[in-house]
Amino acid sequence: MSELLSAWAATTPAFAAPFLLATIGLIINERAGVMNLGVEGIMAIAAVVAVIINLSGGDVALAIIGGVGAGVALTALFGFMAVVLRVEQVLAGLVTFALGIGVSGYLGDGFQNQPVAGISPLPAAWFARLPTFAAGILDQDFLTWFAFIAAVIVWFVLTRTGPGLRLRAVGEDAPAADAAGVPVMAYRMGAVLTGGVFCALAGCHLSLIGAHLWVDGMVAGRGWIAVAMVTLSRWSALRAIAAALLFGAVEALVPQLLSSGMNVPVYFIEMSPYLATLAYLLIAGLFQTGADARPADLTRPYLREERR
Amino acid sequence: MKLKNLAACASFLAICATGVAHAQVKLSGKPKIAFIFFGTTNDGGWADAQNAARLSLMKAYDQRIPFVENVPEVTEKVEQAIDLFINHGDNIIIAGSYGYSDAFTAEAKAHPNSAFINIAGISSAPNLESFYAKTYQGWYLAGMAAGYATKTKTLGMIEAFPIPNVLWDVNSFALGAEAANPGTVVKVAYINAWSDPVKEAQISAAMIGQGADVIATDMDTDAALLVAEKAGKYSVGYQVNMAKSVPNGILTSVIFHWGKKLVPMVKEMASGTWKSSGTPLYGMKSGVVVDAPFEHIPAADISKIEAVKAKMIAGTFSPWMGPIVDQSGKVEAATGTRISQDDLWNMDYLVANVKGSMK
Repeated sequence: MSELLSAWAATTPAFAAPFLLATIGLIINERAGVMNLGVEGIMAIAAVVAVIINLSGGDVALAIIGGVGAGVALTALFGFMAVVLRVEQVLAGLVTFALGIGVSGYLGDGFQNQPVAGISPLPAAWFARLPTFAAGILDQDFLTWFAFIAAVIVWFVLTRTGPGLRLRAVGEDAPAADAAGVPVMAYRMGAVLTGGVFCALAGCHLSLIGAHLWVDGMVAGRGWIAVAMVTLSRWSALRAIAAALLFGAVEALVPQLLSSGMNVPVYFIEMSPYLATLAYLLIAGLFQTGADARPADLTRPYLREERR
Repeated sequence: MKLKNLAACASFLAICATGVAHAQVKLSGKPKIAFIFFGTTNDGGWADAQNAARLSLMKAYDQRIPFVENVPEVTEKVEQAIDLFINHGDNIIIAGSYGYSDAFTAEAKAHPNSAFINIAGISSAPNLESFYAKTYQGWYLAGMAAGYATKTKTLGMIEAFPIPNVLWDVNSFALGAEAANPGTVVKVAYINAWSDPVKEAQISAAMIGQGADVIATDMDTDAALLVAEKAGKYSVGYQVNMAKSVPNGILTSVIFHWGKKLVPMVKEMASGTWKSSGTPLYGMKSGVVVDAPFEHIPAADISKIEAVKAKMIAGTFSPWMGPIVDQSGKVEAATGTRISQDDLWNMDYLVANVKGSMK
């Protein structure tokens, strides 16, 4: 039993990391008033480009840079549509999603199912002095570590620094922010692109760490889960850590239970993530934590000349 | 429309004239083959294996064989794809998906002078055959290899969904392991998707953490096996030979050679002697399913496996000969009896040495 517990705890962070990366990316977007539903496509294109580079002889650093570059390029297209041209954000997001899935399938066609070196956990020796349980939890790969550290940094920047406060002002009341001298367009575009970096990193995590290969359609809805997790974490990067850990813990429990040979119905196990989400929503509802956290100007395009 | 009706009447009369309902299929002209794939031909698994059959048909009949990829299991979409090929003059349509069954029934009825093959389908007609492979033969022998290789007497097997033709893979793998190394258990887990390499890798890691030292995958990708290779464990691949990605731990792969059946079938179609066999299972005898060369186990063990394989091909041995007892202790086949093919398609239990739920 204790073995199961420590294996469960040790695998949770890597399960949580891709969700966390994508969720904080989306929080940055939405805090500036832009909803990016293209995240699934951005993750896919980053995942496939990272694999292609890693397979073609590029090292992990180059693979991540390439994956992020491709993801940001697609995000820039979304930003151009949503921020500059003020296209309906939901539509622009869905187009980005479809484009990303299509292009990733096309690019990756000759690279499917070929193992990549990918990213391994940090050397176990670094954690050798710690108790086994703690060492198991802490011995993750660097991208997983980065996800948790970045979440704290993003929280700090968004809530405790000038640029962060201005970014949130743009998302809450763009005309007021504009009147106060904040360049709305620049902040929104900056937020979209920065968010795109995190979404792309989530895709790299899936292909370089999660699967160590690429196959068509392998993001498998994880981007959409991140979209929901933004609401679940009430647009707070700190709560996103909690939400991602909760979700990761439930997801990590499934394979442990399945492979333990315990006689638990498969359908109940498969249902568990949604039960956890429901429980989280219930608790959040009961205690009314941060009830109105949704940025007031979310999905609302801003045009200076337009009266509200 | 009228013309079409006339044509249908004419072909109906033609059938009446020959006087046989389940007659041989007369093609509309020279055989022209077309393929429909559920996935992409580079998926490294299901569609990849079928594409290999397409390539061997191209070689055997010296014709270009058109294909369409990523056709979802939606009846109208499948019908559109078929109509496109038929209007183009193709008269042998080959696909491989359970969810295409209804579309194939409808199209086979609408085009009596075309032949339809749907691998892993469940529908049949005079000009439609849905065949599948006796995958359990390959998995039984792979189970023996895993039984000889394991030191922890614990094997892990990764599955898509708990459906009959997946459960018979699990059960035959477990029976083979038990025959080779009594007391070996097989842990089984379902992904609940035909492909999700991230989950496959995660479950593989969890199984290894819980003592499994052989990981067998019944999925398209080799993600689960890569984890085993990294951890220094053994693996068993599926659908295509996966030895290339896991050279140090591979024991064998259960492989499809659909071309072994499709090539002679098209020959019969060309000469007008082909008849649909309904929904048959083809096995090692026809070469449709085979095991890749066994590796990393002693030669003496390999010859024991080869001996069983010879008996299987000769028809004197089947994994489904009793006694077979399920997890709850219920006897599914008593000594001296054998599970029938119909009962295989209704399989809803796991044998005694499988650990894991099936509901």
